[in-house]
Amino acid sequence: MTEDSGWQRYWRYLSSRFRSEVDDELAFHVEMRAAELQRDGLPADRARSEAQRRFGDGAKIRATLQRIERKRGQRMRLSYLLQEMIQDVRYGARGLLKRPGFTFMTASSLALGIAATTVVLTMIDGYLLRPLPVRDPGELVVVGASNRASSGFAAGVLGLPTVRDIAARTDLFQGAAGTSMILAATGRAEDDPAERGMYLGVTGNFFSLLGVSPSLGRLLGPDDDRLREQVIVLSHRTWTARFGSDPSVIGRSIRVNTVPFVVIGVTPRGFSGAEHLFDPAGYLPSATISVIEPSAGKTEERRDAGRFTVIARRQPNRTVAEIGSALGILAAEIEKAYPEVGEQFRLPVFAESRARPNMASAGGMFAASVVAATLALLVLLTASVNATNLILARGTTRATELAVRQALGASRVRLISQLVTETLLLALLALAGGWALAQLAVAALTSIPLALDDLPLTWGLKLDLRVFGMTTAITLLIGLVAGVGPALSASRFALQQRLREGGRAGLSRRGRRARSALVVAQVAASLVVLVCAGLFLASAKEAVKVDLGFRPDHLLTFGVDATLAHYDEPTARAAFERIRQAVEQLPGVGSAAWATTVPIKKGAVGMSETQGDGDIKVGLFTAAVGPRYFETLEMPVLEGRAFELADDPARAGVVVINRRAAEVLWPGKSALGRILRLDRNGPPLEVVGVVKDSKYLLIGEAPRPYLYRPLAQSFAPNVYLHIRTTADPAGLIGQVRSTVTAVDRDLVPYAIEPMTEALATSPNGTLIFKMGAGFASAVGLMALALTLAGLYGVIVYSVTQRTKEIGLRMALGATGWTVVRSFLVDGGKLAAVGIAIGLGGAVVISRNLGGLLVGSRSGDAGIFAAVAIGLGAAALLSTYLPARRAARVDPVQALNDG
Amino acid sequence: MATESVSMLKGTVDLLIMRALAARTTHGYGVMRWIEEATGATLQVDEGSLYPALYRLEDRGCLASEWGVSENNRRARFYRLTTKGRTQLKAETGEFLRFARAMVRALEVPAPATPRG
Repeated sequence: MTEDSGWQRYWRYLSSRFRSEVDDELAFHVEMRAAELQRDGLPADRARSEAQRRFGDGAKIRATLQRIERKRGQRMRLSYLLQEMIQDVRYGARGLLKRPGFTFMTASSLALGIAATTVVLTMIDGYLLRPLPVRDPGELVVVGASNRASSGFAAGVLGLPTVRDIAARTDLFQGAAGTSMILAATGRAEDDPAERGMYLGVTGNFFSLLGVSPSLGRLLGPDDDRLREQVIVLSHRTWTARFGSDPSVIGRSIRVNTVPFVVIGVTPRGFSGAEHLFDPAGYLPSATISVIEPSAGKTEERRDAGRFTVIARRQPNRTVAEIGSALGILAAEIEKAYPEVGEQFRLPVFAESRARPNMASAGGMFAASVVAATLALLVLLTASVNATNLILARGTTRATELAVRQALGASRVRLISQLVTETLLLALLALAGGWALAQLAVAALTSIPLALDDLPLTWGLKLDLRVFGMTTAITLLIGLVAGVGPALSASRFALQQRLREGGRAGLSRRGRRARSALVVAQVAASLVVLVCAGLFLASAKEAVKVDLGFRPDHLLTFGVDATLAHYDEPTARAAFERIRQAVEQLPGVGSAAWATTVPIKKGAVGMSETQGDGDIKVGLFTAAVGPRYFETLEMPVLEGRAFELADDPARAGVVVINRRAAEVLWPGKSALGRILRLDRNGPPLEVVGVVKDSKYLLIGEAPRPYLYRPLAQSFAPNVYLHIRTTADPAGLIGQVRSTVTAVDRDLVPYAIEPMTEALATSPNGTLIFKMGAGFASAVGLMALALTLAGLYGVIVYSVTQRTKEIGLRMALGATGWTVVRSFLVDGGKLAAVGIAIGLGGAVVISRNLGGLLVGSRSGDAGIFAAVAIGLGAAALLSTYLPARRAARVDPVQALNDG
Repeated sequence: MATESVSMLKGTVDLLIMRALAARTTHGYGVMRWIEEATGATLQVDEGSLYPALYRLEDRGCLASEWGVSENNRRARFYRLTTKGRTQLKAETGEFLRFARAMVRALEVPAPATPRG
C-alpha cells in the first residue's frame, strides 16, 4: 500500500464530514416525522417505520446531496486557494516595493541574463532549429561537392549529370532536385525599368519534392524543365512588394535579363526554398538558365563546371551517415569515369538543418551556436548567482520577521510559498525586462542592413512565441531554483536557529571564498570589455576624420551590369559613354567617371603580381577607371598625368600607380616612364602618373600599393559611375536614375547612394567601428551591471552576517564611519584585484585589435585609466550603499538579538 | 394525506422554499410543513425534491445554513434566506403571479358550444 499524500488525506476528511452531515440532517427529518406521527396516535415503533417508508429512497437522496455538497466544497477550496495566492502576490509585491534597491538590482541582473539567453536562443532557433515550411522537413538533406583543390565543402558546383546520378539513387532518396542561384534583372513589363535580384533555377521536381502548394496559379513541374518553358514562379514577397499582390499577374509576360518569361504562379508565404541568406525573388526552370545567361554557355551539362546544389529527401529508413558513405562510393565512381571533376572528388551530405546558413558553414554554425549558448548561459548563471546571493541575504535579514510570523501560527508551507511567490514575481519582472531588452537587441541587429551590393541578405532572426516559451521556462526554473533554496533555509532557520543562535544562517567559508572569486572575475571581465568599448568608441570618432585620399562628400555612385542586358563589348562601351555624358549634363553635376570598383564600398576587384626594380615583385590591387576619374574623386596627381581620352586600345598600354606602389617598386627613384607587367606574361605597361595614396578596402588600412588602368584598355561589363556633384548628392538620386533609364532601359542602376552614406553603412566603412562600439558598449554595460549587482550582493550579505560583530565593535566605541570603512576596504580589495587582473587582460586584447582600430592610439592610456578609475569608483559606491546600513546598527539591539 | 395533492410545476419548489424561509428561518422539515400548511395540503413536496433543492439554492447563494438546536432539542440544520435570495424571491414571485393570472384568465373564459357534425 502506498502512503496517502496530504491532499488525499484532506479529501477523505472533507468527504467524511459531508457524509455525516448529510446523514444527520436526513435522520433529523425522519425523526421529526416519526415524532409527529406519534403525536397523531401511532405507537413509537410503527411511527418510526412509517416515517422511514414515507421518506422513500434515502440512499438515492443521500447520494444526490453528497454530490452537490462535494462540488461546492471543491469550488470553495479553489476560491480559498486563489485568495491565498492573491494574498501571497500582494504580500510579495509589497515586499519588493519596500526594497526598491534590492528589487532593481536583482531584477535587472536577471533581466540581462535573460536578454542574453533570448538573443542567443533566437539565433540558434533561426539558424538551426526552425524547420523549413515544407512537408516533413526532417527528411531533407543537401549535397555539395569538394575535391583536393577546393577548400572545404562547396555548394553550387555540381553539374546536372551528377545531380541526375544522385537522383537516380532511389535506394537512398525519395527524390533529389538541383538548385542554382541566378543573379538576374527583371522588368515587370516591356517598358518597365529592370531591377536586379537573386533568383533560383530549379529542376522540375523541386516543388513536388518539397511538397509545397502555390498561393496562386501553379508551381514549376517536370515538363517546364524538359520543354525549356520560359516560365517563372514569383516568390510571395516579390508578388506583394513588386506586383502589389495583383492576382492578374498570372499569365503576364515579364522580362528576365531582357528575355520574356510568363508568370505561372506564386509561392506560399514564408517559403524561400532551402536558402537562408537570400530570399529568392523567383524560381525558373533550370533548363532556362542558359537562355537568360548566354555568356555562361551550356556549362550546366559539364560535370566539372556545374553550378548546382542538390536538395534531396532521404528514404525514411536511411540515416544521413549511411547516405554519406553511399555517396562516397558514387563520388569515387564518378571520379574514375570523369577525371575532370578533380582528384579526391567527394559528395558531402548534410541534414538540411545542419547546413545553415549555407553548406560552407556547415558544422561551423553549430559550433558557434554551442559557444554562444554556453556564453549566454554563463551570463545567466552569473546573474542567477547574483540574484540568489541577494535573496539569501534578504532571507537572513528577514529571519526575525519570519520567526515572529511562524510563532503567530503561519505554517512553514505558507511561509515558503510566500517567499517563493516573491521570487517568482521578481523573476517575472526580470522576464518582462529581459524580453524587452532582447527585443531591442534583435531590432538593433536586424536594422543593420546586410547586403551584397544592393541585394539584400536576410538576417533570419525573429523573436517568436517558440523562443518566448523557452525563455519563460528557463526564467521560471531560475525563479524556483533561486527562490526555493533560500526560502527553505530562511524558514528553517526562522524558528530553530534564529531564536537560539541569533540568526547566523551563514554559508561555509568555502562558499564565501567562491563568491569573492566570482566578484573578482566579474570585475576583471567587465574591465576588459569596457576598455574595448572605449577603444572602439574613440575609434569610431576617429574613423569619421580619417583622410581617405579622396573627397567623400558631394560624391554619388551607382553600378550597372551590362551582362544582365546581354550587351557585347562595343554596345556596352557606347551605352556607358552615353550614360556618362547624359549624367554630366544634369544641373548640379560637376563631372562623372566610370570605374570597376568603388573605394571602400565595393572593395577590391583584382590583384596582380607586378615586377618592379630588379627582383622586387609586389602583389597589388588594380582597378580600371575611365576618363576624369582622378578629377572626379579629387585624388591629387603627384607626378605625371591622369588618363586621357587618347589612352584607348589603339595606343600602348599605360597605368597610373599610387605613391606607395611607386615607393615599393622603384625605391628612391621616379616611377614615371617605367615599364611594368601585370602577371608574368602580361603586355608591357608604361607608368604615366603617380597619385596620392588613398583608402581602398578599409578605412583603417595602412597605405597599400595600388594600380589603375584605363577602362578603355581593360574592359569590364560591371562598372560604377562616380559623380561629383555641386548640389546635395542625395537629392540627385531620382534624377540620375531616370536619366540612366531614359538613355538605356536595360542597364539597371543599382546601389545608388551618396559616398558618405556608403561609408556609414558599409562593413568596410565606419559601420564596423560603430557596430563594434555598440556591441562592446552593450556587453560592457551588461558586465558592469552584473558586476555591481554581484558586489552589492556580497556586501549586503556580509553586513547581515556580521551584524552582531558590528554591534559589539560599536559598543566598544567604534564609530559608524569606522565600520563603513572596514566594508569599503573589503569591497575595495576585491575590486582592486579584479581591476589589476582586468588591466593585464585588456592590454593583451587591445594589442590584438590593431586592424579594427584607426587613428592615433595616443589616447589609449587615458581610456585604460578612465575605465579603471570609473570601475573602481562604481565598485566602491556599490559597496558603500549596503555598508551604510551597517553603520546604523543599534549595538544594544544587535547584541540583544543574540 | 386526506386531501388530493397536485403535482408540482417545475421551478415552483424553489419558489415555495424561498417563500417558506422568508416567513421564518427553519430546517428542512419545517419548510416541508410550511408548504403543506400554506397550500392547505394541496401542494406537497417530497424529500427527494426538497433536499436537493435546498442544497442547490444554498450553492447558488440564495440560502445560507448553519447547525443549530431544534424546538425539541435536537441538532438540526437551519436554513435562512440571504439578501440575494430575497431579491430572487421577489423577482420570481412577480413573474409567477403574472403567469398564473394569465393562465387563470385563459382557462376561465367560458368554452364555446362544441359544433356538431
